[in-house]
Amino acid sequence: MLKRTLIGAILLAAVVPVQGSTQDAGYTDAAARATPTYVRTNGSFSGTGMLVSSRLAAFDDSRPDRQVPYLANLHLTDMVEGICHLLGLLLRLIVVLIAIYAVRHYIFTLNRLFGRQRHPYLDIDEADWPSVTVFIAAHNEETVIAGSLTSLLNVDYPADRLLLVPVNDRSTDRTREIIDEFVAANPGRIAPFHRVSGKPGKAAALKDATKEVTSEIIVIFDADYLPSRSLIKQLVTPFFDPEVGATMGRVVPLNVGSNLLTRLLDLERSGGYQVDQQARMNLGMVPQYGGTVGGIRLHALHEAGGWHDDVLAEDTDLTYRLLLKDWKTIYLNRAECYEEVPEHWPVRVRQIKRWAKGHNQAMWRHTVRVLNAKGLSLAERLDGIALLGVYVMAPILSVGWILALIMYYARGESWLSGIIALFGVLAFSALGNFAAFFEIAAAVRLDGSCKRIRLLPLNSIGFMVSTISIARATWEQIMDTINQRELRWDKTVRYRSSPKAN
Amino acid sequence: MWGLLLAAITLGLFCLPLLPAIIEFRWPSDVAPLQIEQEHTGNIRFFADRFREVMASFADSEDNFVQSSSALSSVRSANMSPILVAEEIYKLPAQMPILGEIHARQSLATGVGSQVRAALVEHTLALARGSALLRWAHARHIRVGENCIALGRLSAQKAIILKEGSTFRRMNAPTIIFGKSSTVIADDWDQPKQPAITQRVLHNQDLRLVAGSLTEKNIIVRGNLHIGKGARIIGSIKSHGDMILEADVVVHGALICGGDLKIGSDCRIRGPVVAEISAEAAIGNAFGTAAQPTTVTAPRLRFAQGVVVHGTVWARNHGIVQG
Repeated sequence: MLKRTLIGAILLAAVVPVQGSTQDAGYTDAAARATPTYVRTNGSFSGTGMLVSSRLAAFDDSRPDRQVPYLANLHLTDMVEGICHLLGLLLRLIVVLIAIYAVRHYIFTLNRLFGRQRHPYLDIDEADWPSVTVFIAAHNEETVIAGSLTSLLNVDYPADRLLLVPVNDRSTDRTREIIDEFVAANPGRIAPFHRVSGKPGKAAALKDATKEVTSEIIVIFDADYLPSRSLIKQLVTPFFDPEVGATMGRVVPLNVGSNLLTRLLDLERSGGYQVDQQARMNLGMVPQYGGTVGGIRLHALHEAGGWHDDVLAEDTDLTYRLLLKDWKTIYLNRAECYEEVPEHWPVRVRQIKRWAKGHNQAMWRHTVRVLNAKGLSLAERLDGIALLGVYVMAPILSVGWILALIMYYARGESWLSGIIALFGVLAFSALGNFAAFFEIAAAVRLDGSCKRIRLLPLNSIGFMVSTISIARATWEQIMDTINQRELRWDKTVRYRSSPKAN
Repeated sequence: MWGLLLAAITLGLFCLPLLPAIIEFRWPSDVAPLQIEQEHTGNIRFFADRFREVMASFADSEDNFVQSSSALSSVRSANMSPILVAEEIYKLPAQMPILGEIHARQSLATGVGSQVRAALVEHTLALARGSALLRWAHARHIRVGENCIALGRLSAQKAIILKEGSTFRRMNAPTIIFGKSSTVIADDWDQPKQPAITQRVLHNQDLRLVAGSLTEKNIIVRGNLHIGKGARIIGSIKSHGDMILEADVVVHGALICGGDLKIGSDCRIRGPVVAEISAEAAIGNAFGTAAQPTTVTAPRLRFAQGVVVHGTVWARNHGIVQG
């Protein structure tokens, strides 16, 4: 698609007819401007080259008697100039947007390296612990559900205040059977929610399951997660703060060594959590609730409108609905949990497209509200808007590249070349989803890892795949909206082999 | 040919920065997932419990040997540094550094100015004036004398008492008394758990609660908060800025302060108490209850004499008992 657009742009420049009079002062100016361009394109056969060559042919002084063709329609010239001017303005706007995100990434990284780190709730180890319901979202999870339940039964949270609720959403494999075996073996600890009908999707399943909840706090895990013993307490401690509506821990890839994709995703996750999320926590901005390895205050959830099952990214949507109701989301960098990342590129592409569509939905719904919200600080407002726009930046970046190519061949002013050079640098550093290269490098250093940072240049591959996928997803989303097609939730593939049930 | 050579050199220079990446990709050397301690719980007694297991294993092991002296023996395994064992009540000499672990089967007292690395004491541990504890100590009762330095962890099964001038980091006991306790517990303080308060009131600027007022909501202040004398809050309170509680304030909930926290005399706070910069508690304050222990934490803590905490006290940078 990119190739077609580029060729079209070049052809557009080539189809303008060349006619005119040598006595036109405006045309003289145009020719003078065209001279450097002609020199640069000497010998090349391009649409714009033809245009410039034709312009100079109008001033063939060696043959003054000859009626040389020129741009007869001055309005068309103005129109072309006008289009170029508009495209230049658009390119400048895109460069400004990318510069904002680049600066944002640098601020986050420098804050993590040198700023004050906030972990205010980390030291709470004695308290009157609130009642907690743990949801384990499961749809055909026979390979992983046993591991998750075993880990959760082993946590150090008071057993009389903890209830495990596997949300079995219309599974057709052995998921239900495995859950029921655990229920029988651990009486009073597990209350399964077997869903046999209703709208598909995690948000819809959680919405139905939440109706049965009576505890103060809900903690949610995906079925492939393996919580450590202290994780529930870590996720719950911030709820002693009456302003906290949700908490989010850090997910750590378990299947790092599977292939290049998993290694690249491990680096991306490091940057996203170790630097991005923690920096937003430090700076009083908007840490994002991620939908898993996180807790929600039930009262806050009800106040924010409950679960919305018509969104693809219920986590992002909930973060903003809570924020707009004056509930904060807290990020806990040391509340770590293993997860599986995609091991195949098609799975990764589907995952990132779903995230992009869901995030764009949230952007559409909440941008104006965030701008107008009264109770938010300036930092929250600015970061909230920036966070909503991260997935839109990918198609914007793609448009920027196309524009830069067009403008490079169509115009020659030095200021524009400077803009293009700046665009090139910023596009490199801001490329990708959430993490610039500097962020990832700092995150790997903070994690105490070493040689894996050598793979950092190869993250360009992952970022390029993400950019194209997100751009496609945005286009599909626009077309789905126009054609009124319903958004579909795709389940992520699991890779662990099935352990024996407990 | 020269063109090809130039192209090859250019390509080589272009690929040179990718060489470490290609090497790491082709011959992976760092592919382990980030280490997460699945069994880690942050238990303050972790080292003490592990030490107890080690001592129990010595009873069965044939690798160690014992050198007996008058009251103090040492146990040494092939793989560990010597551990001192006191079978009877024992007092260490003054100004003596003990750089290994000590296991006292009765009570243990240090001499003035002694240094102890770590100690597991079955009865009472008494740190004499000017002593220093370097890593951890666990006992049934712990008494910390004047101007002691208690780095690391202090945990007790019954109580910890600290005298003026002592510094501390992390402590846990059913009762922790700073200085002399003269606290009189109010009649309604030790009530059973209340249902969670869900109503909130938000203030975007500084707030001053009138003396003697009663509030049955959670309070969130996006500025500084000043609570007048004798005010009572049934719920939790939070300030983004500094917080001042005058005397006799009662808070049946948590206290979260984004700045400096100053608590006047004879206040009761159910907890937890979290201050992001510093916390200072005046005489007669009580945090938590024996039935519902809590946590008081801040990077810097200053407690006056007569403060009582039931549960955990954690000063990330520096904690001190005021003289």
